[in-house]
Amino acid sequence: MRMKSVALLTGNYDWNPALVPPSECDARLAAVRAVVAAHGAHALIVHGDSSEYSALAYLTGFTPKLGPALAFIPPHGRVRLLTAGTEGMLDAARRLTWVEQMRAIGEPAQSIAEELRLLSGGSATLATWGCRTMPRRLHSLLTNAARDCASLLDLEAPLNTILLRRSPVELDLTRAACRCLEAAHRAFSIATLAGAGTRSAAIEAERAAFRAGAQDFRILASARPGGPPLPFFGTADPIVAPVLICMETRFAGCCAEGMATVAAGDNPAALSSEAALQSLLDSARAGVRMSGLAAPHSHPFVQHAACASPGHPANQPADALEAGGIYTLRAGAAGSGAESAVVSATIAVHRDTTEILWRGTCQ
Amino acid sequence: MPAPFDLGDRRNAVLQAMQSRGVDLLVAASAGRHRLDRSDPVVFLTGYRSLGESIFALWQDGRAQLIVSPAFDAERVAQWPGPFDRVATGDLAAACADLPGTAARIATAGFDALPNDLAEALLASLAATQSGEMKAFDGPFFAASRPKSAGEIDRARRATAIAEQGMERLLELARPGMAECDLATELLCDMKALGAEDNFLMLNAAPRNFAVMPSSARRLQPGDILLTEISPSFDGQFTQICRTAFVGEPGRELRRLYDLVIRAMWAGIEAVRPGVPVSAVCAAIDGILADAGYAEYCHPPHIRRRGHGLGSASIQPGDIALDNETILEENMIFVVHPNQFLPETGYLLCGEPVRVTATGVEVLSQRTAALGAIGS
Repeated sequence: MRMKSVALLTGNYDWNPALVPPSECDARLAAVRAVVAAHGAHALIVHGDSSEYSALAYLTGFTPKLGPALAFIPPHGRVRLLTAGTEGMLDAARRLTWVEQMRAIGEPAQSIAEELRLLSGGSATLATWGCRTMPRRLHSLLTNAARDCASLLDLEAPLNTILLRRSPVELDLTRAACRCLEAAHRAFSIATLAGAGTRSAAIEAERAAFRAGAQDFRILASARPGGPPLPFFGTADPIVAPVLICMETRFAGCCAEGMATVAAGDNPAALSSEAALQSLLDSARAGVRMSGLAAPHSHPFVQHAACASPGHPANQPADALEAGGIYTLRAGAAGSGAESAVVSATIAVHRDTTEILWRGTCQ
Repeated sequence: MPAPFDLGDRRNAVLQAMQSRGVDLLVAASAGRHRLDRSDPVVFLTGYRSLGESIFALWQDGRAQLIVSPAFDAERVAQWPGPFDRVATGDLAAACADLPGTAARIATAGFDALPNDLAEALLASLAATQSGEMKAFDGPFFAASRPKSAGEIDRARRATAIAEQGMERLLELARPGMAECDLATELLCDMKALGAEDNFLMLNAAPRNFAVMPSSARRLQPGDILLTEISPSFDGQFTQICRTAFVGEPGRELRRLYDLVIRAMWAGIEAVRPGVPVSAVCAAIDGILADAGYAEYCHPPHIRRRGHGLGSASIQPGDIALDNETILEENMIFVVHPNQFLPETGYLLCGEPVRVTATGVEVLSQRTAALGAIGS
């Protein structure tokens, strides 16, 4: 969820074993431990905060709402968590994770040093994950604390690779996230086509996403006809047509994102975008490289086509479609003035088929 | 596009601080995380809330440049008013490479809050083109201009009005059986409809609470004490009101103890005036509670602070705590909240946002804290 900062994650982030069962948590932990061991590291430190928590939430279920959190993953045995907030807040923090060993971060320099000594046993190579986005001040504390007892090894890239291949549980949760996305898209469209301003329509979309079970929902929308999707500041509530929207939502830790164009009218860019997206979908299958996806539609307005893995911390375009991966395919077109449109689809790539999980429209 | 608020004086104050310390170039950074309890150097000087990380460069001769990310924010930043150049980029470090020019002494602000990789890249980029010194300037930077601007004060008033309507809505919506997070997300949307663009909305309930916390899926039950910090942001300025409500009809003991924390809050508010150290506000609150026999609960782990400044531009005067000797100045805005743990009831919340006036204090809220009741 990087499209916009929020002051506090307000939705339901409680760990629900009916949605993410312990067997899934164990499998994730085992996969991560295998990568750590393969790189010669003894144990792992994982960081997350309320802005970027993909790695931490994947591994522990824990979504840090109030500040930084660090997970300490030994080669065997119990995971430990350091969380922001006071001891009195631990009851709330415990609801968010399956991890039992948890303490408040308190004085960070001291707490981190204690945990590192415990993890390293005096001197060891400790892998790190999610630490590149750590605020510089906290990163300094971590490196200083490690100086006496461990050497740190950044395993960001190989560990992020694990996140690209989704388990059956994650696929089901992503389907649910896409249902939240669709509820939001529908609410935005209904409000806009009924004459609401973009700000009002965006609030209706957010409300619909939460009511559908979303943990979080964010939306950007055009501030002028055909303008780029932007955040809402102030009370301006313009009626815009066409309005380009970009949405992100999350359900039980799994992300869905989508782009669409509402009140497109007879905008030729909308037709181009839809056609370009269809071309991408027609050629999307396991093993296809991005360069091998169908070229953008021949309409002169078509400007871009892209593919990314939603919720992935690297947030970079994917090089190729892999079986077991979930991808967002995007197409956009822009002409002069209001002649622009965007649209996207979320797909799950299976070994022999491609499943469309959500598809935006230009309507 | 809203008009910029009166930030010219603030930039001039920072320029004076730069000149008095021989700084040629100030590079102020924002992590793009606009928070209730964090200062943001770029918002502080420009009012601009970037989507991603951003930089504001200010030269000693008064030239300035705002560099924001991501690149697709170009249209918005181009329209943002202010006497500075504007750039939107997908590569902040590269865009900053040419900033130093001939500047020998560069100061930075806000770099400790940046993602570490970006901070290192920016520092390397700045260092590569200059041979002089580079040092952190965060302290003098925010100290140069502590009060809120007229625009920020107006926004704080509007945010406070939204917060109060939010509390009214909470009392209408809340009912036994409702999940905390469902109540919180409905309120979040309702307050956005009233004009808030964001909200640090803590809301939790239990028969006995040990802290105010973010919402969970726990369902409200008769006999719960519901705690909430309602903290909407209006056009970038956060406010906060702290409230307590009982699910059902509150008993005599709870009413008596809630009256005590209310009295403590008003003692703190009445201590607010220009020239007084922040610590005096905290001491006034502690005094009431200590007189009532709760001195041992006036320290950590039961209580860490009795209020705080309100971002996202600057959180001056900081935490309302005994160790904060910052002197209050006219037009500082902060929240005063006793938010006290009492052994009989657990945690109880009350708090109001206040402005330091020329002679005393103005409470920004119109309907101040009183123990609420949620129908069962």
